[in-house]
Amino acid sequence: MKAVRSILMNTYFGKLFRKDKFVFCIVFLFFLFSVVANAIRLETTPFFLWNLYAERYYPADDYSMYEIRYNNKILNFKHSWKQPQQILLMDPLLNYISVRHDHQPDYWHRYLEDHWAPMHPGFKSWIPNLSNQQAQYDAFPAWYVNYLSSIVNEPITDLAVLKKKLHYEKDGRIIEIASDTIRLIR
Amino acid sequence: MNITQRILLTRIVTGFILFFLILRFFEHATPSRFLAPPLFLVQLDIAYWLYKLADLPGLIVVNKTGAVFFDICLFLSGILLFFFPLRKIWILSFTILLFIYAISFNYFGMHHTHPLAGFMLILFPFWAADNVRFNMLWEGMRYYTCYLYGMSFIWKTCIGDSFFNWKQGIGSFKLNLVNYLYQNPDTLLSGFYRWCLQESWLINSGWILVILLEGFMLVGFFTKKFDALLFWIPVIIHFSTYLFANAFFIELLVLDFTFLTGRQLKKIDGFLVVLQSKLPGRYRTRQEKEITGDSIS
Repeated sequence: MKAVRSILMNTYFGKLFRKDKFVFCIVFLFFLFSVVANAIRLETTPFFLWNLYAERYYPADDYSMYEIRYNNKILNFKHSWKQPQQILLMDPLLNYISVRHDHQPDYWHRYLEDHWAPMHPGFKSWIPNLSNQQAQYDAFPAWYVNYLSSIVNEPITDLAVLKKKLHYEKDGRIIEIASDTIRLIR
Repeated sequence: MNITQRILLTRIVTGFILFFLILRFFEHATPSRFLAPPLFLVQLDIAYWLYKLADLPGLIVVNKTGAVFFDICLFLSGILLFFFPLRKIWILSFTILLFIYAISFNYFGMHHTHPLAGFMLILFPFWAADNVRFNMLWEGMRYYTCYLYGMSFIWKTCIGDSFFNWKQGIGSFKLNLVNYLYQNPDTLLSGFYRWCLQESWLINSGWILVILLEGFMLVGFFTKKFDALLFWIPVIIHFSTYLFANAFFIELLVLDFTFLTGRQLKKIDGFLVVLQSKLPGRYRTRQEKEITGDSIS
């Protein structure tokens, strides 16, 4: 028992406990919550889940992609360091397309309504405030045009999103198999 | 780590963060340039719920004046922290504003990404006025860096099982690079990627190697002997995922500075002294001069 205690007291947390109990409590609780968040798979910032690419990906021959066309030009995300901008341009757009074009319910709205609210009825009134409503979807195309216009530095008169089905050839080249146009403004 | 080294470390960390914030500003990815997006995502993250319910998005992003004011405060507090690294007000304000910025970006980007996680956490040890307390917190941050990569390894091997999928590397490669290859078929990089697709064993092996490197970071929990090596592992991981998975996690490398030892900081400081001696003068705040007894002005 003494040996275990001696080992523990020589660890980072042991030394911290001896030197500064206040800091020990903060650091220990931070690590504890971080581990627990990962164990129960529930992220609560700043207790992050580090699970990127933990699920399996298998190579396929066909993939889908969305291509944005404005004023007869193609928006090309050529550099990975532009990813923050790419996220702001693509992720809200994909959600909008899913809800408005494909008529799918917003995943998180449905989750909160169907699973979370029955377990926590006291918080049900919060749900409209925590998920996107029709008015927000209505406002999306105008914002998107405005935002993209500020990036490409020109007024946008025509904006379309093309959902493409692409195929990897044996030599690694990609050919287009199908394309579906979703027009945001004309 | 002494107070001079702490000053240098504050400047390295703040300079690194400011560089990427400026990049984000020019990429239209800071609140004043979001132009009030209507859609958002909170998921089940209580921090985002509080952010939304406190109406912070309305105040600092949707309101145009608020958004411009937020950006000014964010950049100004960072710049002032760089020049006055021991002033608590700039440390506190930059930490809080960075934290809010990261949540704002993920909230309106509708993607709770983690590249900004390092920015959100790294400045907390600098809150400690007492240098002994700072050193303890900084050491804790070093352990968190080891934990982060170690946990990523555990997710891929124990909680999830992607490590045991031999085709994982080529699977994520094809998925993440399909846009680039389609839109830029004639670049040199696309030619290289097509060669990689022929040699899929190389991509799959690289994927396994990256996971093993993540696992190796757990060594940092038991010894500091390998810190020089541990410093380079996240660099290898993030540059390889940048190149082969189109994932921009370079900002997370701010946590890598926790592996810098006092000796390395002394070397960097020595290098900067030589560099600055060639310039007309060396800038030191009055507070720094008092602490370090430095007569260089």
